[in-house]
This record gives sequence, C-alpha cells and structure tokens, in this order.
Amino acid sequence: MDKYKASWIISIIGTVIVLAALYYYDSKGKHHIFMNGELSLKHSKLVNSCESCHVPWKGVQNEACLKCHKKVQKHQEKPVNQDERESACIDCHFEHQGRSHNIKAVDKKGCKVCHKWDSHPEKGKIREQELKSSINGNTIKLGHKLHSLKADDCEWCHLESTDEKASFKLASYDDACSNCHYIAGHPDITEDTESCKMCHLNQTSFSLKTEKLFLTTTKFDHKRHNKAKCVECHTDYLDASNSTDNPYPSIGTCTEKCHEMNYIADNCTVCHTYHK
Amino acid sequence: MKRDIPLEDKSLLRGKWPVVFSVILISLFSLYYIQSQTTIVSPGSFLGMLYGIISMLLVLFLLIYRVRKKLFRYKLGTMQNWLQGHIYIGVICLIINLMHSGASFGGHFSAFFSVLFFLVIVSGIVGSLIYVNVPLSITKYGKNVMTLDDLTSELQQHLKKADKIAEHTSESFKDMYKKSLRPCLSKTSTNWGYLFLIESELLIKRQNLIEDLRAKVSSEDIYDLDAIGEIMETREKIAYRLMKTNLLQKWLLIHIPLSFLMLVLLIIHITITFYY
Repeated sequence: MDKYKASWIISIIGTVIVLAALYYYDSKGKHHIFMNGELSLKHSKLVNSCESCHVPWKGVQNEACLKCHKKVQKHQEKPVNQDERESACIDCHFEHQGRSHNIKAVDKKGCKVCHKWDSHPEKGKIREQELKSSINGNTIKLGHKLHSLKADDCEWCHLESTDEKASFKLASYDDACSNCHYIAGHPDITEDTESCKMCHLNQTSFSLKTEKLFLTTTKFDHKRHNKAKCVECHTDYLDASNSTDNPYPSIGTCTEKCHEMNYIADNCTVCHTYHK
Repeated sequence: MKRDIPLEDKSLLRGKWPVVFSVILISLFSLYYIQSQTTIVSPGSFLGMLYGIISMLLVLFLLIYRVRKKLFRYKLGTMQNWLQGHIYIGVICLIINLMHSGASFGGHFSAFFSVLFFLVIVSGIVGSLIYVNVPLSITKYGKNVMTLDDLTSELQQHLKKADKIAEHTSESFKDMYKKSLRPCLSKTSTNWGYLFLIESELLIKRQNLIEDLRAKVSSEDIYDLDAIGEIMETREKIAYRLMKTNLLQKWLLIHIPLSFLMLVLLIIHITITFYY
C-alpha cells in the first residue's frame, strides 16, 4: 500500500480513537479533563460543574462569583487609568492554577494590568488636605523640627489609641501640647490671637489621602510595626516645620527595610484594599 | 566526517532560515522577558492569547508545506527552502506554545495536547535528520534511474549470486557464510539502526567483516570470500539507499498521523477556549 494512503488511514483511525475517548469522558460528566489546570482547594467541589462559573461563549462573569461570594463588593472607586469596562474578578483572582493555589492572593502584576505605573508614589505625592486635627478640626502649626523630638519621645505626644487599626491617637492639646504649653481654659481662650497663631495655622481641616492615581484606601497598622522605632520609618521628621508637613515615610523606606524581601509579602494588597 | 553525498546540497543550516529563526527566537524571548516583568503571562492573558494566535497561524503555515508539495508546477520557491521553513517554523511554534501555556501543562486535555505537539515537532526534527542522511538521488544508481522495485529486485539478485558462489565452497565456509555473511546480504527491511549511519561507515564495517573472515577461511575459499565481499559492497550501496528510503516512508506513518491528530485537537482546544 502507498505510504501516504497508509499514513492517512492511521491518522483517521487514531483521531477517531482519541475523539471517542474524549466523548466518553465528556458523556460521563468528567468535564474536568478539559480543564486548563486543577481548581483551587476552595473551588474543588465545582470540579465537574463548569457551568457554575463558565457561561458558554462568554467565559466567567462576575455574577457567577457573586452568587456565592455575596459580601464581596465592587472596586473601591472607579480606577484611574483604567478603561471603561467593569473590573472582572478573574482579572486579579486566577483559577485553574492548581490545588494549592491561593485564589484570594493577588499578585502585584495583577494590579498593574489596570494600574499603569512605573513606580510607587513617593512621599511628596501624599496629599494631606483632609487630615482631621484632633483639636477642634483646626490645623496646628506644630513642627517636629521645632520640637526636636527624640525617637523615644514620640509617645510623649502620640499616645496609643484603643482603635485597633490606628494604634496612635492624633496628638491633642490635652494629651500632648498642654504638657508644655499650658494655657488655662484652652481651647476656649480667644484673647491672644497672636499666641494662637503660634500653633494654629489656619482653620481648614485636612485628612490623609493618597492621590487618586492608585487604590485610594490604604491600610496601615502601627501595631504590626511596633518592633520598629518611630524614627526608623519617619526618618525625615526633623524637616517638618508644621503639622501639614507630616513626615510620612516613602514606600522606599518600607521596601528598603522589610517589604519586597523574601520573608515579607510585597503585594499591593498588603497595604491597599481593593474591595469596598 | 566522510560522506559520499555533499552535505551542503541538503544542509538545513544554510540559507536565510537559520538567521530568520535566530532573530525571531531572540525577539520572542526578549518580548516574553519584558512582559513577564510587569504582567502575568498566562494562556488567558492578552500576551498569552497573542502567543496562542501566533502559534495557530504558524501551524496553518506548516500545513501549507503539504499543499506546496502538490503544487510543484508553480513557482513558489524551492522545496529546499520550504522544507527548511517547515522545520524552523515548527521549532519556533513549539517555543511559542511554551510561552502561550506559561510552560505549564495544565489539565489532562491540555497536557495531552502539549505532549502531542511536542511529539509532532520532535518527529519532524527526526524526519529532517533522516532526510539529510538519505542520498540525494535515492533512485539513481550510477547513470541509471531505478525505481524502488528495481532496487529491491537488484538486492535479491545480489543475494542469489552470493548464494550460488557459496554453494560450491567447503562445508566450513558454507557454515560461516550462513552465520556471518548471509544475514548481512538478506536485510531488506527498515532498520532504525541505520538512521545515523553514514554510507562510508557501513562499507568500512562490511570490509572489516570480510578481513576478519579472511583469517579464518582456507586458502581455497579466499577467492570465493573476496567475490562475495565485492557483491556485498555493491549490494550495501543499494541497500543503504533503500533502507533510508524505507525509513523516510515509515517515518511518514508517524509524523502525518500525529500532525493530523494535533490539528484536530487544536480545533477542539480553540473551541473549548472560546466556549468556556
């Protein structure tokens, strides 16, 4: 027999056998053979229920995830530098990566799909417009430079907070200033405005908010960082001439010291929350 | 390495293709490296899909080679160039496929598909090795053009001649002929051991065999041994051509069915991808 004819006969027979095997598995409900990789442990019960997540010809829709994950909210705010389409859960949470894959964990590369940036904003980018002063909402002209606090003395003004997330209270007159600048009847005293201006810069309130280039909600827990001394992170505190010039550490301070090293996670989600 | 047939006539390392191959390969690796620094390259990602589409287009290009062989009357470039392109593009295709899958086999179907793809490319490389080792004019012997059937009957005639000479020899020679010489003269089927054997090496091997036997036979039989040795040399030249041709044809029985099955699975793979 001609070798070409023989090869085509073998081709057809071989293909029919393979197709029959695939059909057999599919008809038995063993759809998992078509999967692109094992499901994560949490989703492993859905192994032969592809339709639980996949909509034919449309792929995985957010609605499928929200059927079970009801508490999960959408993106914090409409992300800057992102196209108009709605963020998809699967843009960040990758499935079919194996049984041991943690689907909740988000690789920072996943964030960069939408958040186009070459480097993290440094200290100068942090806006302080809405940082509320603990003293009647006023802005205080309190400069670290003037006060020249030593590292061990931070607690002199910054008392520990009962709030779990922010382990320091913002300095108040009663807790901090009055230790040295005792003014009887403060904050009601109104006679000496020049004296007031020594500390009170203006009457606008401000709060800490990062620029909207990035995920807007940033979480930072002082308690988790209590092994470090204040000035290890707040290295520029002596340059601060007033309270609006807060010595926030730059991301460089974080990464140089601990993060982006092997033993501490460096994902965006360590500091930024995605969901509302 | 000594060869009867000049290597440059069929070398796969000459011409434009090796340069094109190197440029494409370097570009692909560079692109992959740059992209993998900032984004996750998975089969479903933009870059992963792009690699998949390129790979699919290249597979279609590989199929055109078969069509080109049929269209020998048209000026569509030399077959030598087409064969080189077929081999180099095949290897590039395998590399792009690895990039597409993120060097992961995925699930059962994907793993089977990936292994099959690998086997097709490897069988292609093996085929090219057989091809470069097959004498240029398989059917050309001396000044005469011979069909494969002619070559086979020629071999039989040489065997008969040797048998006839051996009939009139001593019993000890007959016994030696039966054990040591006849098996070499009666081989007509494909022997995979010939794959990497050079024609001149084969002839030297046979000459050495005759030399070894010369020391063992009586002086009366030496003339007959030399005569059989001459027949054997002539015969081996034909047998070598025939065996390589047979190898190439048997190789088709592997490469074509594997390629066909791979094409069918590619269609299923694309359908599954868009369905889910």
